[in-house]
Amino acid sequence: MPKKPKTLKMHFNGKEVSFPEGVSVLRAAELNGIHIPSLCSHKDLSPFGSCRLCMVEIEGMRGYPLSCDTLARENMKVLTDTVKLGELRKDILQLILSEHPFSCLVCGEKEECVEFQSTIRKTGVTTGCRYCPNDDQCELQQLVEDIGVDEVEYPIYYHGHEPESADPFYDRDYNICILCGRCVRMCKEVRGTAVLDFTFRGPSAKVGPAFGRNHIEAGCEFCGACVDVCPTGALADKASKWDGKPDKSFTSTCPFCGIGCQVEIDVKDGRLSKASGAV
Amino acid sequence: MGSGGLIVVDEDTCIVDTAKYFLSFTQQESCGKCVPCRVGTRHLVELLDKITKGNGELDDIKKMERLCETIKAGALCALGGTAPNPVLSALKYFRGEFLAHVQNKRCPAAVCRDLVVYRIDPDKCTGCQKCVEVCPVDAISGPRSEPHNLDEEACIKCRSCYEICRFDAIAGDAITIVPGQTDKS
Repeated sequence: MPKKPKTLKMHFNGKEVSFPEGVSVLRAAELNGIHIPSLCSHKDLSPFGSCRLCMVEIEGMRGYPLSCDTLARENMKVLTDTVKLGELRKDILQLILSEHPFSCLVCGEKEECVEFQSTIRKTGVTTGCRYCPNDDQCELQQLVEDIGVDEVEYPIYYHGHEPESADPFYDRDYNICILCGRCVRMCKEVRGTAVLDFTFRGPSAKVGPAFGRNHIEAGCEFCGACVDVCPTGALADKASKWDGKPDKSFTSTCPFCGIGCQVEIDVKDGRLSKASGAV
Repeated sequence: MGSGGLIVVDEDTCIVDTAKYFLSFTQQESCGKCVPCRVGTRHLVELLDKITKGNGELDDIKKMERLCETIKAGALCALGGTAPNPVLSALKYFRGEFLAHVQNKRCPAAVCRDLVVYRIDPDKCTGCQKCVEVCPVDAISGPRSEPHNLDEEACIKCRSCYEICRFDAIAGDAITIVPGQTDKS
């Protein structure tokens, strides 16, 4: 039987909390109900540090260390919500949004818009949240609400990638990808296939199989793990793409083989909309 | 300048243009992993470019300073952490030159193409017609052995006439690039 990790104590914003040894500062905060915004971290994946939103202030450490890749230690004193951190997060989120269609996020009419959602939604190119298959289920959208960005001061950079829909199961639109690398890590670390990786660099960086191959040639099994972890609407499975937010979700057992994995079943309008791995 | 290197330049070098040069380098070198470096440096280059083109506003300088701080504090590695240094140093020691670009739409070093005019000094010009030959848009005219005329409207500021005039003994350095009034000012 694995040894139970030791329980240690640390301080978040002056409050003493306990956490199990060996977890990151971000996880320790999560376990104690303290919210630190983050887009690239995921509990099943290794820390990556690309979104830079989970930065915190730690006594005795220089600058703004990332809570996702800093190991929580005994008696650590962490500040998660200072004015300076708020400003930095706001600015960084603005930078993320300048590469991502944001018109609906900062629109003054967004509250009133909900009732007009029955208008054109199934668009080929996503120009705002109302035209995105992931509307209402998007982590970026949620974060903009939480952090409170109401304007983006920078010009928009549209990547101009062609939306990819040639493969049988998924549609991909890397114009709304924020390069958080969750799909890449999922493919490499959890599935062990490493079909996806970052191609090109700097402003031209894009996720995809190496050497310009398509997913089938690169050996993709279409397991769907990348779609499940994507925080935005860049990856969407064709079958449930425009179903919207599910009415309810429940966990069930997959009947496909004898292993009996747990699956998450989404129901929309009394119909099975989507089944994904329960993680 | 960023990496701690020391560069000696004279007053013929525009500091805004130099900062833009350094920033375009770090922007090309950015791996694209973290947001502040990938997107932030791109915005910095765009802002500097805007200023060198004479479209800068006072607000852009403030915006650049804030963006520099965000990139420095937020970038993942030292490349991003030091990328804004050329802009910060330039703003710290040569703020006047930035202000000249932004407020007066004037490049004191006469480097930024959109903020300069080309002039022919009639006293120096020997009328050798070298510049007439190299001008790709026929902006320079005039008979041989008489001072030439330069049509500022037609001039595309390609520098060809300046180069040939400067290094040719006959032509004798009659063409100068001066920080001048442009249609934008």
